[in-house]
Amino acid sequence: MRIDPENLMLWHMNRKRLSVEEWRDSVLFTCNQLSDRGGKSLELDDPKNFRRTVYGRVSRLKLNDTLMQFDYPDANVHAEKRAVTTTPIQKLFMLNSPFVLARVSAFSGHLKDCGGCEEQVVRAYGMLFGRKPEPWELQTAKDFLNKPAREGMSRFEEYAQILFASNEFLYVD
Amino acid sequence: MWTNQNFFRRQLPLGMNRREMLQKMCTGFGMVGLAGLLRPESLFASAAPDPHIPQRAKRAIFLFLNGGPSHVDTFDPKPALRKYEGQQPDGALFKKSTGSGFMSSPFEFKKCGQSGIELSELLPNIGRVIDDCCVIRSMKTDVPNHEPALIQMHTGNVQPIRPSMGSWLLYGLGTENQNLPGYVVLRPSTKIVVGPALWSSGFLPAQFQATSVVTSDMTVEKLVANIRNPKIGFDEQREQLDLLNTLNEHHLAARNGDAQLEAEIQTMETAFQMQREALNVFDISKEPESTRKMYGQSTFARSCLLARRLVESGVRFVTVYYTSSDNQPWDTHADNDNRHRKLCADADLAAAALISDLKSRGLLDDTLVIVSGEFGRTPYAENRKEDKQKATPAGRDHHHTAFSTLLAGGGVKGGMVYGASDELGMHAVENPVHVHDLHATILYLMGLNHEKLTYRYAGRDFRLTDVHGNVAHALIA
Repeated sequence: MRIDPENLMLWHMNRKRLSVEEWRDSVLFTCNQLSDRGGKSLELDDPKNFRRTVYGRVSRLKLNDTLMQFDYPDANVHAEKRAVTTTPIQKLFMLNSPFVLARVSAFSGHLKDCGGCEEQVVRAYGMLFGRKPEPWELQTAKDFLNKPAREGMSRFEEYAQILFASNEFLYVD
Repeated sequence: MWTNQNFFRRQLPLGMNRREMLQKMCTGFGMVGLAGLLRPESLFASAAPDPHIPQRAKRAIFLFLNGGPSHVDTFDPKPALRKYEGQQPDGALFKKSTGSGFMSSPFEFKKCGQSGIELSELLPNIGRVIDDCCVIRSMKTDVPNHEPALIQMHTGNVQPIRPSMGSWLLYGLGTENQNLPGYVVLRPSTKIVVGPALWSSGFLPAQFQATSVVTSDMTVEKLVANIRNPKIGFDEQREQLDLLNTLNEHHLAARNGDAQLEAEIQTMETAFQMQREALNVFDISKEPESTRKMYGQSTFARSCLLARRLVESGVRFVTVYYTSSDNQPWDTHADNDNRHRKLCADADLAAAALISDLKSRGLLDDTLVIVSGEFGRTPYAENRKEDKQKATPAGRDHHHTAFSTLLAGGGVKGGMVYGASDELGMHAVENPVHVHDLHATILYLMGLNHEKLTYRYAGRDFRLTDVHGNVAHALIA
C-alpha cells in the first residue's frame, strides 16, 4: 500500500465501478426482486420492470434517461469503452428516484422479520457488502435507527437507501 | 499491460499525487479537469479557454425558432421582390419552383433605433433594442431540409452523432455553478424534430449533455427529474447524507484516498445542494408580475424568462426551442404571412424582453443571445396542391442559401448589420456566414479557439467546426 498506492505495478485488481447494468441488477437482486426472465425488451423505467437491465429498451432517437445518466453510450455512436463519469444527476437518482425508493421499501420489508435492529443491519451488510459490519458501523447504524421514526420513510428505509448509495456498493475492490 | 489511466498517471509532475492534481487543476467536480482525469487523452487536447482570446461572453442563450423563419418577412428587407413579383427564379435551385414565383413581403420595413437598421413591422420590440443587436443577413447552410439543417446548426455536421455546441462549450469552459446543470434545454413539449440528438454530448463524456426540461408545465418538481425526494424533506435527507459521508469517508481512508471515490463523495454533496438551488432557480413564480408580463404569457415567453434566471445563476448555455403543438411552427409552407404574424407577435416580445431584461441587470455585456432558425424561407412562393384546393394563402419553402440570424450582447457590436444577401434575398453575397463560421464566432466570443477545442475520438481530433469555420471578427466589438 505504501509503496504503490496507485497500483501501477498491478499488485491487485484495479478498483472497478459497477456499470449501470451491474448496479441496477445488484439492487434488484439484493431486494430479491430480480427476475430471470429473458425475452422482448421493455422500458427500463416501467415500475413493473424487474428484469435485468440488459433487457431495457434502447432507443437511438431518445436514449432512456437513466441509462444516459449512468454513462450508457449514445446508441448512434461507436463506443469502444464506456466513459466513467460522476455527476450530481446520478446521485439525485440514488436519492430521489421512484426506482430506488421502491427498492428500499421492498428491502426493508424483507428484513423486517429477520429479528432485531442489530440482526437486520448484519443481514444488510452481508447481502450488500459480503461482510459483517465493524463494531463502529453497527453502533452508528443503531444510533441512526433508534432515532425517532418519521413520516414518509421508515428509519430502516432511509438507512437502506444510503447503503445502496454508498461507494462500497458501487465499487468492487 | 498498461491501461491508459496508468500511463497518464506516470505523466503527472513528480511529487504531485492525484489529490493535489484535483485541487490544482480544477476548482470543482463540474469542471473540465475531472473530465480529463477520467478520459486522460482529452485533458491534453487544450480543453480550456484560450489565453490569447479575450472571453467576452461567459454564458449564452440560444432562442431557436424551429422550422426556419422567413428572412424576407423579418430581418431582411427586399423591396426588389416587388419589381420581380410573379417571376420565376432562375439559376440553379435545390428544388424546382412550382409556385407563383417571387413573392414580396406584405410587411412594411422601418428603420429602427439610432442605428437605423430596417426591420419588418412584425418585430417592433426587437426594433426597440436593435442598437444592442447585430443582424447577420448573410447566413447560409448546406441542406435545406429540417433534420440535416437542425443537426448542422446544433452540432456542426449534417449527420447526427456529433456533440452539440452546448456540450462543446461545457467541455471547454466548465460551468460556473456546480449546483446546477451547466447546459439546459427548454422546450414546450417532447415533440421536436430530431430530438435529443440536438443537445447530446455525442462522444464527449456524459456530464456535458444537456438537461432537457419540458416547460409546458412550469411546476418546479415536474421540470427536473428526481429533483426532490417525494417522501422526505431536506433536513431528513441531510441526516441521511451525514451518515453516508461517515461510511464513505471510512471506506475512502482504507483505500488511500482514491480520487475517484472522493469524487463520488463530493458529487453526492453537490447533488444535495443542487436540489435546493434548482428548486429555487427553476421557479419563475418568484419573478414579479411586471417582469412576467414584460415577456408575455406564452410558453416560449415563460421559457425565455426561465432562461434568464438560469444564466443569472451560473448556467453556461441555455437553448429555448420555439415549438408548440406544431413541432416546427415556423415552417410556413402555407399561409406564410398570417402565421408569421402570429409567431412574431410572440417571439418578438419575448426575445426583446430577454435582451432588455439582461441589459437592465447588467448581464448583457457578457451574455450572448442568439436568435435563429435552421434556415430561411424562399423569396418565391410555394403553392402546394392541397393549399390551392382549400384557397389557403401561399407559403414559402425551405431556403438555405441565405437567411438571417440575430446576435446580441456578449461582445457583439450593437446596432450593426453584418453581411448581405442579393437584392432578392436568394443568396448570401456579402460576407457570407456559414453555420461553421457562426460556430467559430460564438466559440471565439466565449473565449475558445474553435480550431484548438478538440476531442480525440475514433482516432482523430474532432471539433465543433470540423475542418471549417472562420471567425467573423468584424462583428465583434
